[in-house]
Amino acid sequence: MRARNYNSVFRMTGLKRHLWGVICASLLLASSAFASNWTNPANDLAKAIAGASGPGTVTLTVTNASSLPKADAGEIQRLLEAQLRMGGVRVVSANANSDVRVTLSENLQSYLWVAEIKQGNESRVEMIAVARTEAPAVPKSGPSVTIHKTLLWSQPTQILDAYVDGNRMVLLDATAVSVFSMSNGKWQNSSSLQFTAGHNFPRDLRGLLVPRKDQQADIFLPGTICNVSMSAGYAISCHDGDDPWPLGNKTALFNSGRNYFTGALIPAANRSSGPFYSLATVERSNYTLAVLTGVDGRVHLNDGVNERVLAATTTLDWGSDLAAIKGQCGGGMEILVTSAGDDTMADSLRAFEIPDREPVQVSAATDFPGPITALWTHGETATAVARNLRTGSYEAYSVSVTCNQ
Amino acid sequence: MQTVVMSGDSTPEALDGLAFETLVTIDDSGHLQPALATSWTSSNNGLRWEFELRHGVTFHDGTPLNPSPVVETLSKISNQPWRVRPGNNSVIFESDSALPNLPAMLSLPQFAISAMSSTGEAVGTGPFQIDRRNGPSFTLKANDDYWGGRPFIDALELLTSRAPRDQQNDFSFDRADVIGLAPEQLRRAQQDRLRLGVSRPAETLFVVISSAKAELRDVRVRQAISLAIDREAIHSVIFQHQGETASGLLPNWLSGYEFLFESSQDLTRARQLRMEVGQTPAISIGYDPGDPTERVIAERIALNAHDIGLNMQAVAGNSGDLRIRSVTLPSLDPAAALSGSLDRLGLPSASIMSTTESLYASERAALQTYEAIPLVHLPRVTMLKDRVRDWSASPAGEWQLDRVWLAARNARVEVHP
Amino acid sequence: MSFRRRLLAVFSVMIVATVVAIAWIISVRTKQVFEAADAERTEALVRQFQQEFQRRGESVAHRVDAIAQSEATARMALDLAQGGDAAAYVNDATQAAQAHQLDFLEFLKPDGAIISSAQWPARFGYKEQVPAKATGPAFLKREELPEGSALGMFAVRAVKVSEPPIYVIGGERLDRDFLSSISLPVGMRAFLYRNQNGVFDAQNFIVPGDILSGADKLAPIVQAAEENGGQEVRGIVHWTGDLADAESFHAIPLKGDDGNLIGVLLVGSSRRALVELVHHIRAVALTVGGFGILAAILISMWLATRVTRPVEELAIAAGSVAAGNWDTHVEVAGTDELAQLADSFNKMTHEIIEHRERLVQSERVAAWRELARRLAHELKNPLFPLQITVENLLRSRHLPEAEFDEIFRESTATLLAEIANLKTIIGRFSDFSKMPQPQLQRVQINDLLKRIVALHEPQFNAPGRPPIKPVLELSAIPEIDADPDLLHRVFSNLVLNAMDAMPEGGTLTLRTRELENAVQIEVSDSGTGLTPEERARLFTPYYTSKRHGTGLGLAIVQSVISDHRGSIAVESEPGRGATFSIELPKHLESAIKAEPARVG
Repeated sequence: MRARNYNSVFRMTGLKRHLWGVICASLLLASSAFASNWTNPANDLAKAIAGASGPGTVTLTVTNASSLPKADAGEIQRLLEAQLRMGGVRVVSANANSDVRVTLSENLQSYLWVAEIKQGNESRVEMIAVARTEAPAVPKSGPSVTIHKTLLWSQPTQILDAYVDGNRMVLLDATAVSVFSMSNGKWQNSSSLQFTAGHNFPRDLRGLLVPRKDQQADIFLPGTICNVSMSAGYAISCHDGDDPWPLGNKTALFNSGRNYFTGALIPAANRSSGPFYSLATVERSNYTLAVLTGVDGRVHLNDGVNERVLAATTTLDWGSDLAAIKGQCGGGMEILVTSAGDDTMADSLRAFEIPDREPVQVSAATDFPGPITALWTHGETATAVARNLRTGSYEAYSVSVTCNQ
Repeated sequence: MQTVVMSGDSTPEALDGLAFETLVTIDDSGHLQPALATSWTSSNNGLRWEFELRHGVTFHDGTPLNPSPVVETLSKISNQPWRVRPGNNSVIFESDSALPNLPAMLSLPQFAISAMSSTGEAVGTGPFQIDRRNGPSFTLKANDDYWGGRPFIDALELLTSRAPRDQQNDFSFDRADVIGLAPEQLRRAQQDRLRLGVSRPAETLFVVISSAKAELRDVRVRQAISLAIDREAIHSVIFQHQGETASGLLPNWLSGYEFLFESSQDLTRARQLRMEVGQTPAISIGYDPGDPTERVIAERIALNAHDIGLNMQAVAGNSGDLRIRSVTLPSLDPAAALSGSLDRLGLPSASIMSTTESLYASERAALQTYEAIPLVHLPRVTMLKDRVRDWSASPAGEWQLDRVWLAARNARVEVHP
Repeated sequence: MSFRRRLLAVFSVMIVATVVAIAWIISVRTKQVFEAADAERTEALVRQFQQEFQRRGESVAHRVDAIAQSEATARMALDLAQGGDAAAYVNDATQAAQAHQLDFLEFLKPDGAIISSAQWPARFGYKEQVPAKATGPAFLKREELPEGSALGMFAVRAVKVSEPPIYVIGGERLDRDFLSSISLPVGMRAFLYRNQNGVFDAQNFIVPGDILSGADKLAPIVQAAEENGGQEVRGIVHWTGDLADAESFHAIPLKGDDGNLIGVLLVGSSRRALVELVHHIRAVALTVGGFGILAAILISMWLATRVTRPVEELAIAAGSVAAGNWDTHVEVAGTDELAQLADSFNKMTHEIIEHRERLVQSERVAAWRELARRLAHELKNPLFPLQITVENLLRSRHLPEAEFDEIFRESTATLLAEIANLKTIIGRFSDFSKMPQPQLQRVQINDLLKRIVALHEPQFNAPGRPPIKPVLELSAIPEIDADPDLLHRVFSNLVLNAMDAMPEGGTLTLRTRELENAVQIEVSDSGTGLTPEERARLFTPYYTSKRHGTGLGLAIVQSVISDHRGSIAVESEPGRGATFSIELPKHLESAIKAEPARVG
């Protein structure tokens, strides 16, 4: 999540931060409530284990095979150990009278905690059904997509965009476009082409590389357009201009004094969604669905005819950056979404699909070592740039998705 | 007129719930929900149950629902541990032993309520009624007077007994809106960016003993076969990691304890059992010649058997000593699902209680006979046209067709101001 | 066997032997030529097979190369080298095999684990032997399949995009389509036999077209090929009892890349043409032989005219001479040895005739001399007393009348007795000289003998002499053609002789017995017997051992027996009596007809 504090109409960042805090508090409250819920069933299970093993020593292994959070599983294990001790059963690491393996499982109706107590060649099973307060967090069909990221390049200065074309990588930063070639498995800088704009760039600079035919590329910067030629030697030429930036199969005008798009799309939609930070296009059979992270902090769906805003609760944890890539999974396009947060937090990417009218998360979150500062689509992959919180370097990643096997 | 066309190889069990309903249903969380019965009570330590019938329900021929056809329908089902009689707008079940999970059992499709129309046909109370049959295909039309509200679509056309290739053609040429897909085709379908509905692993493949050969009467032989089977290979390669390996009759997401049963291949133990038995004549495992996947499974199992010294041959057709069978979860209630699965496998299913421990004990006892050897739990995959909206299926893959609607050809995303 | 027949036989044997020899040489030579041609055809077919194997192998290698170098395979190899999941490629072999029209295709990991198998999809994960080399030409291999095993032409290639590489093993099945694709000359066919564990099984044959019936008959050839250390084996298989249905087979062992025998190629060549040719040769030989024998007959017949007839005539003439016809003459034609022989024969017979005539004449003279001597002897005896008596009378003329009368009466009595004796002697001689021819009737010999015994009964027990006991041992015999009177005289004579031989009495035994074509009559006495000299001269006229008698009796007996075409023999030893054995034919006319014609 980028800190969107540059002339934002709605202080989405601050709002996001506030909301994030609210959410965290809620989660803390919820976890404490949950913790008290485990005491009784842990007690029951401990009694059953003690009844089966008898007083003495046991080795205890607890495995979480349910949707219980890791913290809750740890809490349950601690409760079990405590209850066993109170019941006269001492938990040791080896050479015990009995081996107890507890599996925190679940079924549709409830959690199911299963204890296998082995004494010599004999084995007993004890089960406790524990009521569940909400539906399992795992989607009905389970995560079906996995996000893969591959580090392309790291440098101290800000990377705006990068793309890989065969054995060549082109990387854009605030002052130059660099061409790299693959040698012995590593990218080697072949050339750096400096450029200067005729005006000052805004804060939170954004830039887009668009590969063209014949080994050329266009560079879109706020108020500046450049063209790079790499066919015979390297050459760059820039000019001032507000050409629309290509975003998917649409183009959008960028506010050259700001860090967002004006909201004008080409081809234009019947109803505008307003200025936006990021746009992802999803191909349907007869139209293109545009997903936009508005400057108003909301996520908009625009099919060129109608415009709709997704419920805030649905996109509460979405960041401002989107990229749609072809994921080779059902549903066609995967929409990569950064997570809510600010520049002091590590970011993550999740994949969503919009099979009908609502987005559905289809992947687990893929963490990054810092906030994602740029996210652009390049064909079947995306380029994500993150600032490593530990080193301070900017790291460009190639991001793709695969279907879960 | 909005008609959803579905093409498949058999009549999906979900259709049972479209024309005919049960007294109770199981929701997607596995909990009992009222259907034709609005409430139920148990007395006399579970020896007596009374189900209050819903008002305002009519059969498709217009006759109102009352205790009489309910009792008549349920009385026709043989070998049940209860006796049923009509009450005052209710039906009363009495038994000699407690039936704590009777309501869940009554949610099984075989206990759907029907009545005889004046033309001698069975009629139900469901959201759809059978309109016409044309060989393997039939059409259901919406029940305008359905107590739960008329469905959105006007009709459902079902094309059954369609070979997989024909189903694909139906879909490709827009002759069908919904088709079933084999789990091993899921990966390719996802790569082709097709619209899919994938359930939880709710369809279980078994190897069942279908011959009375003497060598198969020895439980050690059956156990050896079970231990020799490489389920992980079948799951990961043949089914391309779709679903999960099966060690129990019920998948873990339904029972919660399947992990307690062994599913790993243990060639050492299998060989030991085989050597205890001694040399046995050749055993055959049958597969459907029209199903290449089933053939590969049968041949793989034959190879596994060879690895432990059992002479096993895969044969096409129904004549094998072992056969591969697929059983879909009949219910989302574990007890009802276990009972229904055992029934479909031809295994005894008496006295299955609803507590998890008793379920575990019953399932374990059934598994230890090795009459039905679970292989994999597979998801039920449905491929859908874009115009089919609000498509949903239960975790077990049952199509919830009463909520479906069709978008127009040029439909856009709906707008809610 | 006559000379002509012997000659015919010799000529026939010579001609048949010659024809047979020629036919045998021709058939042997034809077989050699046929088998040489058959071997050449088989060699050519084997070369064709080898070329077809090579061509198929190159095609397989080319297709496997294409698969190994394809982008899809390279992607798979790269993915797997980077730890990708092999399960994603489990169906790739089937698709690639279909696309490249291969019957077998497997992708193997570097450790030999099967990534994907077109021919046995369920074998993924199982390990195959890692190929020793992933280059080179195609090779034969036996591939295990769910339904059994099959022979195939395989090639191996390594996909070197990654290191270590993955392997592509592809092949084409050697089945009936392969066999059908090879054009075979008429009368030839080829089978493939898949070797499985060295145990023969007719199900292991791969046959183009129809099912091979009676495949078990190929078992010896197949097993010989398997056991013969990989060398070719030849043999003949008789499918039915008809030799024309036989087939010559060459069994060529097929070895896999590891040197093990994986199959046998059987090339069969029908022997029908050869057998029919041999039959034809034999038929021709038989025909020629038959004509040869016919020619032999004709030649021998012609030769008979030239060679055997004079010889036969000579033989017949010799036989005629032997039968007593001395005056036999053979025609002399030509001047060759046969003519000389005939001439010599004629001279010989002439000499014999002259000699016989001289002999007859001398015998006549001797017989007349003997007769005269006998007559003189017989007559001398009575004549001497006649002379004495007459001389006595002359001397007694001077005696007184009474003495003269007495002497005259004694002398006249003596003269009359001697004259009667003379008359008897002369009567016997007269009887012998005019022995009549037999007047044949049906005569029962047993009755005749009984009458003779009855006739001489008083003499058997005559007073003053020891008795003679007659014994009749008469078997049932048929009647014969004979003259009863002559036979009466014969048997009476013999009985009298027997009585004369038993002056001290004894036993006279008369026996009859039926023989095949004759009846036998024996007259035995228990008298003094005969010495060998006496026995030799017994039937000589005038020989007698008795004190009186002319000695003509047994000669008359012999003459009568001879006239009856019978025979008489005597057995005797001194002191042990004598047995006269007479055999008379049952049918005298048949006996007469059976006699060789008298030549003369």
